[in-house]
Amino acid sequence: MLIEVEGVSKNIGRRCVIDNISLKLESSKIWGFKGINGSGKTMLMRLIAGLIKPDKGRIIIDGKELWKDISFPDSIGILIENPAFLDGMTGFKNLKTLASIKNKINDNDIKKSLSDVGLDPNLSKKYRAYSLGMKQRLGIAAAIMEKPEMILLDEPTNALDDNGVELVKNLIQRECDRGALVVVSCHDESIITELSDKIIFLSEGKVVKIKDKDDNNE
Amino acid sequence: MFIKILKFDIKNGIIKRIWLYAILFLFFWLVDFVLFMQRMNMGVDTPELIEQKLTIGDMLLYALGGAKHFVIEETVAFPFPVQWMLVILIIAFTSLRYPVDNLSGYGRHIIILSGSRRAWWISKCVWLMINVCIYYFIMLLSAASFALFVGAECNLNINEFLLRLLMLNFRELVPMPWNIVVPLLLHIFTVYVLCMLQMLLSFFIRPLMSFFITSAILVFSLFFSSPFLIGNLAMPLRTENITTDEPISIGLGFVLCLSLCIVIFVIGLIKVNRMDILTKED
Repeated sequence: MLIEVEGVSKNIGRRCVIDNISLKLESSKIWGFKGINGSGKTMLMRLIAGLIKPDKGRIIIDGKELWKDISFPDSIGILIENPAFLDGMTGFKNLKTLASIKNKINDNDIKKSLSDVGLDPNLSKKYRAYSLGMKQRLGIAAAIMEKPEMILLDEPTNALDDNGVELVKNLIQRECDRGALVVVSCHDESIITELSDKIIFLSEGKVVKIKDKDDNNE
Repeated sequence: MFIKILKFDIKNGIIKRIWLYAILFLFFWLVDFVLFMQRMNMGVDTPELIEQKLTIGDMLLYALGGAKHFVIEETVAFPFPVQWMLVILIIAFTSLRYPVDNLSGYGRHIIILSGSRRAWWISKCVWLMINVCIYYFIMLLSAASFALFVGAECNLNINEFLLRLLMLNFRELVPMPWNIVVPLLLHIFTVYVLCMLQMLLSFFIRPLMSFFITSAILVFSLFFSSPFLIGNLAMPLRTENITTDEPISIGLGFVLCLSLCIVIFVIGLIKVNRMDILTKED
């Protein structure tokens, strides 16, 4: 998979949240977005996911332009902002409902993805009773369960304990090894530095530098 | 893909709200009960008015009929149709939040996975249609069950006591029997169009503001009789089947509703295809 972001800018109200960003993101790599709050990490993820429309520029995914050829990327797993699921259903039921849209995976695949994030697949607790950490894990499970070609994870380690953080790091690496294009944003520099093949530093909606794993500036 | 989204909407936007329909059933019973008691009260002074049994037609026209044309005359009373307003505002209010909440919550997963904003919008329009139909079906069920309970007649005839209750001018009425089925169908269609309009507006302004606009359309329609103020189309009492005083053509009413429905659908499609899907915090 190849994501090409070409001269993309976006205003929300009067605020410029993304300012003329151009990037090329390739598969089998982990791309880290780093920046302070309000730097544009989440907005850039939303643009790539097709949730918001650029005011200028375009985003091309495997040769197809978002907002022209396709509304959303064909194969995407996403965790942006707080996970949102149905309160009255268990984690498994929530994922099963999502899985029924494309019908690509079965119950065993769903249960495996729940186990992968450290949740009990047979847990009868409803989502409304989940802790923040459990909700976060379910959000990650939803993002990876269909083995999508592109995975966007915005602050995936929020509300997770140390075990959870390790688990997520291993999962991200596993998905990358599978061939997925993984984009991760995180405040924790150590996680980003440890995981990412390339780190994209954002500030005030602009890309200020791109650093690769070997610490060479581009 | 639209069918899959619709299945989800039916499950979460209708089946999971069974409790709401139960409350609505009771509410309609209450409206029927109020009518029943008003009829009894009228019978105290003029017993001949209640010689004929209450009918389902009386109950439906009482709840959904609206009001006669408003005339600014000191000697002419205008009965504000509280029950008519409530019936429409309840369906408008209960269908207000689901589309917007859907888009900012779990529905975001659904729309991304489905890959189609168009399918999402079509599904919401169909969901709304099903929702409105169920609402009025419950009303009919409620009226029928109340009729059985109080020994009313299960037909659509209209009795004289209702005409007096609604303060209708007998000289301006079409000779009985009335065909109230078609005006009632126009009422239901109009309410659907109003709810669609409300849903569309909620993509531009806050949902509660769009609800207030719906309410304002209804209020203005009460006082200004024009088929282009579509609240008028939701008042069977102002249609040609019932009144001869500036009657609203039912055929024109359906055409207007259909046209508005298509316009709203197309604008909604364009809006949904272009809009940013953000959270409330943004």
